[in-house]
Amino acid sequence: MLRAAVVCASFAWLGAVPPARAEDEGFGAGTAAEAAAEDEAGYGATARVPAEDGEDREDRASSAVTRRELEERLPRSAPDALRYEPGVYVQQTAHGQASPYVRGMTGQQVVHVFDGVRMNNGIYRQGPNQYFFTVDSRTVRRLEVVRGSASTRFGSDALGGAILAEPVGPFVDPEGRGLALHGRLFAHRASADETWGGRAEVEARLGRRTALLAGAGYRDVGLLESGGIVRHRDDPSASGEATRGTVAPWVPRFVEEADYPGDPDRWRTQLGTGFREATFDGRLVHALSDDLRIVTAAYGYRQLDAPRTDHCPAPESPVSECLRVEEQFRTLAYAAIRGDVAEGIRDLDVTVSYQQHHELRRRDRSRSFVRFDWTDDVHTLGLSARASSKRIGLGEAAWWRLRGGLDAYGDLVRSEATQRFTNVDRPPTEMRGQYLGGSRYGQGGVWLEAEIQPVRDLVVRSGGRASLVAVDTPADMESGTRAIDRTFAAAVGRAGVEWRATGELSLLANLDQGFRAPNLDDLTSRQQTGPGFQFENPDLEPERTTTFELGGIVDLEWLRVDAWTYATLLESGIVRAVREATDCPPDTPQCDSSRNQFQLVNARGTAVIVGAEGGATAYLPGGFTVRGTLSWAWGEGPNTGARPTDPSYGRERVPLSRVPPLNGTLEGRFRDLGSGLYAGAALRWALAQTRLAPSDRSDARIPLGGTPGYAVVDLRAGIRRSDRLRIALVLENLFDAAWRAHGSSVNGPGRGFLLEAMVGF
Amino acid sequence: MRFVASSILAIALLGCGDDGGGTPVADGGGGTDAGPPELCTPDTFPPDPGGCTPAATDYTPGADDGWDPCLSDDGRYHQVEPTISSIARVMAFEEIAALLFTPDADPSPDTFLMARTIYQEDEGLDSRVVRRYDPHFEVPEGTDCTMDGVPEANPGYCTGPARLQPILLDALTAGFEGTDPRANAGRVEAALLWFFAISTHKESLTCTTKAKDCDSSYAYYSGGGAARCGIGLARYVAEVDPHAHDRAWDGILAVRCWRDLDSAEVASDLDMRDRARDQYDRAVQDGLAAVLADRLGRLRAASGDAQRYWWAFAQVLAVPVGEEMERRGSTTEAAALEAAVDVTDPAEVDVDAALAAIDAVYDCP
Repeated sequence: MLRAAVVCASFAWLGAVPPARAEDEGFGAGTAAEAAAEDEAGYGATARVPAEDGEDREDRASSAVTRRELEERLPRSAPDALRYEPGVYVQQTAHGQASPYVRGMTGQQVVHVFDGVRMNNGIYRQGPNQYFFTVDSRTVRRLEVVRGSASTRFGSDALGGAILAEPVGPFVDPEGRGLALHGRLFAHRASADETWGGRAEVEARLGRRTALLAGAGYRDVGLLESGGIVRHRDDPSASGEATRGTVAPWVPRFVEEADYPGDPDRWRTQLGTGFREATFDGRLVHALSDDLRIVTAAYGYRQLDAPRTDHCPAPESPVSECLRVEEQFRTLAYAAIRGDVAEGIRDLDVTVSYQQHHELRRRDRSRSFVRFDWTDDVHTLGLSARASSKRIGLGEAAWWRLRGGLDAYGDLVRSEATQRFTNVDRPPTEMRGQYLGGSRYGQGGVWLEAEIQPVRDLVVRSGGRASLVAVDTPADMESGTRAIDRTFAAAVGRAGVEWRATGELSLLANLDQGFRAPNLDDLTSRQQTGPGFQFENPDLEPERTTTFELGGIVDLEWLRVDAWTYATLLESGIVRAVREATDCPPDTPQCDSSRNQFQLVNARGTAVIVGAEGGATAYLPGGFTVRGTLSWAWGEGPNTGARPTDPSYGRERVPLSRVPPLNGTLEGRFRDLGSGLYAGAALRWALAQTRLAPSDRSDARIPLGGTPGYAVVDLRAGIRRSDRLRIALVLENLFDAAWRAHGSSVNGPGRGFLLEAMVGF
Repeated sequence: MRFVASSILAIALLGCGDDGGGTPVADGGGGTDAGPPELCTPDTFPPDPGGCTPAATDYTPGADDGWDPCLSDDGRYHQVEPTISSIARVMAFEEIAALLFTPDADPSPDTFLMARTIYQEDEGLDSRVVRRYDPHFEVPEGTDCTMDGVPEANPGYCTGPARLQPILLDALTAGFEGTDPRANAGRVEAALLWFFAISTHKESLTCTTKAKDCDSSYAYYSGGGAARCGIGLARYVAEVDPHAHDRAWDGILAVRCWRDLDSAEVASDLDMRDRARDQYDRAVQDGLAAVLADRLGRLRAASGDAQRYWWAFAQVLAVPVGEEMERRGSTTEAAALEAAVDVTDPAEVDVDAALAAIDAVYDCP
């Protein structure tokens, strides 16, 4: 059993875990076996996929966060757990939201996958969104980030990359008898946001074939104290504006402003932060054979009272105003069969899933006696299947094999909105919801990849996917919205070559394509509020990317380095563009009478993101490990800000919005395997981002002149005693730096501590 | 009152006006009307300046005015950003106008409710009224009208939350309850014009650090109209004082010219900025006073409930006009104006005294 656990923990560190084996991880994660395996394998290395028999190898830029790292870093959320990954930069619109940028793209342009089930649905919003925050990091055993276009394997939306979450599973003990119960209690505390929380979980092993892991958690998160205000880079004090906005960016606001309006050095505690969160999960695994499992699982996330920091209050608004996510519920349930079913068919994974995402947002403007409620629900049924062949020899060193699969997901949407006056006795006014109730969105595809080693030390890979996306939305006469009935077909491919130059050095070159079909958020966001009338484009086509990347991996006994450079070309990017009144759809007088008309269009011209990233891990004598990462990205695209009749239309190129600045991390750790003690330090840093898109310059979240750079140092220490006791402590932001990730509404936590304790029985 | 007398002639000459005092009727619910027509001052028939000449420091597009060549010299407003959200708020004003601003009829409670629904759309007029401060007032640095209690302590500077929003919400609520609907409709109209006027000045200031606010400054006057045209406040001013409207457009272009010549993220040529803003504000304030003068004339000609409409309108709009008089050093006239309209009976409004006070202060925009 120990050997199996060690092997599987190695998989966890190294990359693609065969699903059935993943269930053998053992009770929870972070078991002694895993720890030992991880210590053998290394600390925080960039993921690779050399399997037990050497069949699987890393074939593109990716990295992973292990359970051990999660337990030592104590991230506040699943996106927060990705802050130490190369090529990833985590933006936070709110304390209870976070959106990872992968190679300069986020939101709809990155695929989120939980245990093989696609999370992206038809109403994934434009720009940074909060959906990955709904993955409970305490149920996750591994997070993998695949960087760059990846639609061949992951389908629509995989333009910037994919983020894959693998949950903790129960241990199926092949030598077990009867019923064995084990429990764990977790408690955690964070000082900067006054968090109190905990989790209880129980594992039940039923004989030698069946095991169940069930848990529930809760946390209450208070207002977040930062290291202080993040100041404008360009000093506006001489402007003659005597407003709060010249002292510091309007976002966020601080509690201390009320008592010390003229002393911004005392402003630390951010308004519009804090939330409550409850989670539950259950995972039942039944082993049909040594290599085949049935998995049934359900995961629930319930977030309550989560303010949008940039709207609590909105810039220049009374402090009493707030846009709050009153309810954000996500429920995922699925059943799967996973494993090897025959000699020639490996890693079979057939999953049937159901997801519901529910969101109630409320803007309360108490001074104005008005309140707005928006309710959106999306129900998603999914089916995915994949498998790979065994490696088939073609001679002494030559071999080939195939991987393939299919997937299909269907969404049904309900959406409502009301406006209520709180000082008169009248029923609320019904408005059109953000989406059209009754809308349906379906997507699916089939994919196949081939991997061939024609000669020793050279591997060639290629593959392709055929996808179909269908949209069916009803008409809404009151809002002047017409029905949409469209299908989008797309074909994408990938190709790559790996040359194992020496036993320690591999060089890789890849070309991967991505596509994203327009979703319901793109197609049905038709309304006259805010900047003008935005109408859909019935001719909107998928946006497409092509990523070219070159990488090198050095793998020595004591050192592992991986470095990548890439260029991603975004063609037909779906962006908002200014239109003329004559472009308005028929029978939409409110469009004609608007002074501004917008339409989502496929941008003419190509946007480009180029960059480089990598990481290095050194395993030093005496239990010391040092790891560092570095990420750089540069983006530019066509300016769609001019009207098509303007001679300058399409000619000017501008920076892409919110591309992260040059940033990196450095971690060092000492671990004593005998006692289970560890201690370490971590540095996260970023340079200033002064290269701003036109829209960034008027974004209240971005200080004048750009977001200042920062350096944040954490100290970590803890102890792990087998499976029964674990204590982890992080002293975060040791020097109390005032810092903000570029594009965020929230300043990072100030000096404080994070503490988590676990006892098992 | 040269501008009042000339307005009717101007409207006739322009050929693009409306019904000469009312507002075009739309369905108010985003229905079938294409929206109110813009009022314009055509290039070929500029309004009679009435002996006024621009100040030596004023910007005049295309003229030899001492300003360096800039984007505005073609006489068109060039948006800083492709979208201007303020335009939607001016459009909302025009929708409310179609519902409420009917001096000859009582709006029903449901009509007031519809008007409030429009006024309080998400990101709509009310969301900006409650934020609006008036930079005409000097306050200690750091005075923040968004904080609880600050508006009440600084009602002039924090005009939006302290004065405008209470007027508007009280009027809309009272109208919904059936109380004095005519007068409450008049209050809504005047308060929103007041809001637009100070918004032009506030946005031209914050354009120093946020260039797109120049767009808002332009939009709060013109509603995003084409050159020399406009809806919202521009429509009102063009109707009663085409020359002030023309000068306001020069002011809009002056502000944009400054921000073109001073295009860093945070502008630094504050002398040029202040010249442009003063030019723009002078014209807007003159236009606002002309609107008040015109409505005082209508008050005199009206009777009954229609008179109550204009009386309530004049009482609200006399406040910013009087404050501008004080800024120009005409405290006597400001007091006279206040005394003339601050009466409980519409019939007791001293129209002659009010018009005399206005004429004494407002000469050339």
